[in-house]
Order: sequence, then C-alpha cells, then structure tokens
Amino acid sequence: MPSALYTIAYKPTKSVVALCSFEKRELSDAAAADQLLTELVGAGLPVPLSGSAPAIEIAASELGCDLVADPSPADFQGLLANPYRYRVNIDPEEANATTTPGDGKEKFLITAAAIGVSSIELIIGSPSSSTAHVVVTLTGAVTFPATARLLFDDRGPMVVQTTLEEKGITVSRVLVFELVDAEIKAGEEHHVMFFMEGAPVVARTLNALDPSDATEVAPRAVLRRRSPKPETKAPKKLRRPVRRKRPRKAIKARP
Amino acid sequence: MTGLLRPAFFEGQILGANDLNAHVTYDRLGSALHERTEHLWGVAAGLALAATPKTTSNGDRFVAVQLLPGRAVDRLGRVIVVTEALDVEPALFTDQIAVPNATDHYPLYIQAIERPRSATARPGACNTAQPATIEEGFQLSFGAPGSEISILDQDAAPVADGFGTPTAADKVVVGWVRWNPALEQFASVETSSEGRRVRYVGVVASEVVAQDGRFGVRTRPGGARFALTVAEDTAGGCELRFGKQDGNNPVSAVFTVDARGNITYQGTLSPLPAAQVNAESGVAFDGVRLPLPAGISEDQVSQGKVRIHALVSAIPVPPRSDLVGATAFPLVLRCALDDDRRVHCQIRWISSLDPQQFVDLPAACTYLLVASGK
Repeated sequence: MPSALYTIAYKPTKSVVALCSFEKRELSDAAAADQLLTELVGAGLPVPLSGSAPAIEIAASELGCDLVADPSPADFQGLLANPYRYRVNIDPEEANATTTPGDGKEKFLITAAAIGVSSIELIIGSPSSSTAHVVVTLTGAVTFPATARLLFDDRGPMVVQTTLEEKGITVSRVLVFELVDAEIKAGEEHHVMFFMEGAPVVARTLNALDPSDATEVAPRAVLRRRSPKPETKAPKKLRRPVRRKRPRKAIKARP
Repeated sequence: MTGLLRPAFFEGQILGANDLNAHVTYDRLGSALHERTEHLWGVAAGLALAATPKTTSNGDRFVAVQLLPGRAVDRLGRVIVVTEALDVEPALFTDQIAVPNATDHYPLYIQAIERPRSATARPGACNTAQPATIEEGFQLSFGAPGSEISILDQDAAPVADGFGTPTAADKVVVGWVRWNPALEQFASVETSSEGRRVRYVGVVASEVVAQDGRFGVRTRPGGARFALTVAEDTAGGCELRFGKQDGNNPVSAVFTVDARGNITYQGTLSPLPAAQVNAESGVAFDGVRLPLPAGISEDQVSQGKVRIHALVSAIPVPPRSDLVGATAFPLVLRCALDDDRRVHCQIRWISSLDPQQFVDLPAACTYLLVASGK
C-alpha cells in the first residue's frame, strides 16, 4: 500500500502540531483514529523547546489524528519546514467548515495565516498586582469574538477571547493570559504554546520581563467593560495597563 | 509364455505327488514374490545376538554368544525362522576364520538351507527313500571383516527368477562378534561395524494410508523410542509431530507442524535462515512515536522476537524570517529516537544578525525503520 500522511492536530483550533507518514491505514471511525493516535503519541505529545526535556506536553485527549489528502509538493515542503502554519479542515475551499480532528474522516491541509503573532511576552507582577501574565500581540484579521489558548509550562490550557477597543469599533490585537498563583521572577525562563484559529501555532521559550520592560498592553478599563465572558475566567483585577517604557526586546535572547 | 498355473482339481481325479506339490509350489512362490516385491529383505523380528559374560578358571573374561529366536527374509524371499535360542559355538568361528585378531568385527550370517527329510516308516506302508518333508532350516556362518558390505547391498531377486537359484551370498547379517585369540573365545557382540548395521525388513509402497486419521513411524516396536506421527484432531485440523515416545505415551512435541503450516520447535535452526525483514519509512515530526512496520506487533518487540533498526535524519529547511526579527538560519540540535521509538528532532534557529539570539523549535525528520526477526 502507498505511504500516506497523517497529522496530529490540537482539537480546539484544528492546528497541526505534529505529523507522520507511513503505510496507509484505514481510519474508518473516531475509534480507529484514537487508536492510531495512541500508537503515535501515547498519553501525550511532548514539545521540547529548550534542552532535551519536554517543556510542554499536550494531553492526547486534546489531540486528534487524521489522514490528510496528499498536499502539493510545495505545500508538503512548507509543511515539513513549519507544520505549525497549517491546520486541518474537512473542506479544502471552505475554511470555516465545521471540522473535528480525529473523527475518522479524511482532512485537507490549509494554511493558518489570517492572523499573525507579532510578539509574546511574559511579564512578572508589579507591586500593585502580584499576578504574572503572558501578553500576546496579534496582527492581521483578528475577529471578535474569537478564542485563543495558551499552554504555559506544565499547566492546563488557559483560554481568553478577543475584545473590542475602547470605541467598540475595532478589535483589540492584544491578548492577556494571567498566571494565577504563579510566582515568576524576572529573568526566569518559561515555555509557552499559543493557539488560535486562523493563526499559526507559536511555541516559544520566554524570559520573564519586569513590567517596566514590557510592551504596552490595552488599558484595563477597556478590558473590563468590553470583554465578553472568557471560557476560563481570569481575575479582572490583574488586567492592568502596562505602559511602554522602552523599545520592545526580541522574543528570546540568551547570553 | 503362460501365466502362473494354479492347481485345480475335479471329482474323481487321481491325484499324484506332482499335483499336490504343484499346490504347495504355487503358495510358496506367491509368498516369496510377495516378500521380494512388497518388502525389503532383512531381519523381521528377533535374531539378536546375546552375550553372556563368562570367566575362565584363570579369571579371564569372555562371552558366550547366543542367537535369539526370530524371523528373517532373505533376498530370494525365503523365510528363515529360528524358534529357540541357539548357542553360537566358538568352534564355528575358528573353523571359518583362519587368523582372527582381537580388534576386527566379524559378521555372523544366517542362511536358509533346505533339508529334505525321508518319510518315517509306518505300519502297512512301503518304505521309501524319497523325502516326504523338507525342513526349511538354516545355517550360521562367520565372514571376514567387511565381507558384509556386499551382502547388505544386495537387491531382492527379480520376479523373472521365480524362486531363484540359491547362492552362497543369500545371507542375512544378524550381528558382529569380536574374538579373543588368546582364549579362543568370543570377546563381545556388536550390533554395528564401522557404521554398518543389521538390515531389517522394510516396506515398498508409494502410499501408506491410515485407517482412523492417525499415522505413525517409530524407531522401535516398543519402549523408549522416537516417533513421527501425523494425527487429525476433532476440530478438523491435523498435526505432524516428531519427538520421543515411551511405549504408547504421547509423543513429545519437539517439532510440530499444524494444518495451517505453523511450525513450532524446541531446538534451534541450523543453519539460521535469513531473517524476515519488514520496513517502514516516511517523515515524522518531533514527539511522534514511529509506527512499527505492518505485520509487526509491540508484543513481538517487547518479547525480543523482533529487532528494530532505525535511521532518522533531520529534513533540511530554508531560513525563516518570522522568528527572531531577522533572517534565522537552522542548526540541527538533535535528531534521534529514544527507547520508546519517539522522535526527538530539534532545530535551533539562529539570528543572522546576532548569533546569540536564537529560538529552539521541534522539527521534522525522515525515518527508516527496519524490523528483523531474530
């Protein structure tokens, strides 16, 4: 039998997080797909971002395994170079088609380039607010409401939704994930994976920044008034404004 | 040319000796041809040499040799029957072997001999010198070492020879003896000499068919022996089995083949066959466990029945500009498999402007996985 390409996708955003090709197997239903997923990743998919130890592990329950239609040679090369740019879809043309990774149906690969991630910063708490948070700055066609997820080290996924700007016309491009009960000191190294429909998966190792070094974030008052209720409710008191003090630093810089 | 003539009688016929002898001859020829065409000549049962340890008055040891009762068939199809144990006298040996030595093995032969016997006188009957019975007797003889080679190699007389013409070579080997020249006694008895063994009767057949679904070939009639059996089971299957057997106990399963061709054996194959090899190849991303080739199970791997060989190689990728604010060049940090066959492939993306600025990310590799049977 010919070789076939299979993807492992993060179910909430259909984002491709791993792939493997081998002799074609029939995935008749979700049970068969789950069995193949277990064979390929076991209890979870480790994602190493620094050193040899896995920094983040995505639970198998959050993943779906699919047979995907053979991509074009150009897409295949792009997929191998950066699978995080792709997501699975049941329809090659209709990007918003309802798709469930791991349902046993053959999928198509489409790029997730409508939204870009310009920066991800980890900011420690200030004297007025002891909660650290991760700030994700987006570019492109950010919609409202849309859901974004963040995996932080070995924590469960954090969920926030996009918000409207102060005048309620434009969508904020800044997402804030608050790290409740986390004691993070400046300079510490932590690992994150960011997921959002329409955006590529971003996996990074971040150095925690002092608030005075961080990029500007949307004012808290706006967030408080306009934000719809998030799936995972975060304490609003920690969503405080952070003023830009100096030019933004690179995502990661090591001595 | 005519076919075999079977005597037939009619009422009032005056029977002569020829008529009666023709009847006997017909049966004898039928029996002889059966032995020569459907069987291989040799010892059919018994006729083993028994050695009884003895000691001279000086304390020197020797053995007394006996030929035990039994039955044999020679190359002419003649039946040789020994009904009681027969002492083999040392004088028989010394009469036939001029200069014996202590090291050689001397074959002992048995040969069919017909001895006509005159009729016993009966009241009212005429005395006659004509034989009324023929004893189907035998005689023993020793041969020179190695003389048994030509004897053992003889084929049965062809059908065209009828009863055949007896010769001095129509002998059956029953064993070998070693001689003690100093004592002029037998030193021992042997069942073989330089790889040559007593020839036993066989069967000439193109097919052997069992009556009840079970068929066996055994190395001895009884006792501890080896057996090869073919036996059907009640589920419609069948098993070929080889192994030891003691009496009528089940044959031990040293080697079996079932109806589906599955082979089970306890020993080792020699020479070892070329190992069966199954392979799988493709691309895999970091964190994925490489799938086993089709037909190979995790149990086979964990039990050590299959050996896994793997080769992984990071896939070359072009520079990226979306990671560190400048063009980033890839450097493969690691590309390997762990004991769980999980891929560990990482690329360090290094800024073209500042080598100290980099991002480590999972990456894809090509793989070749080979599973070979041990």
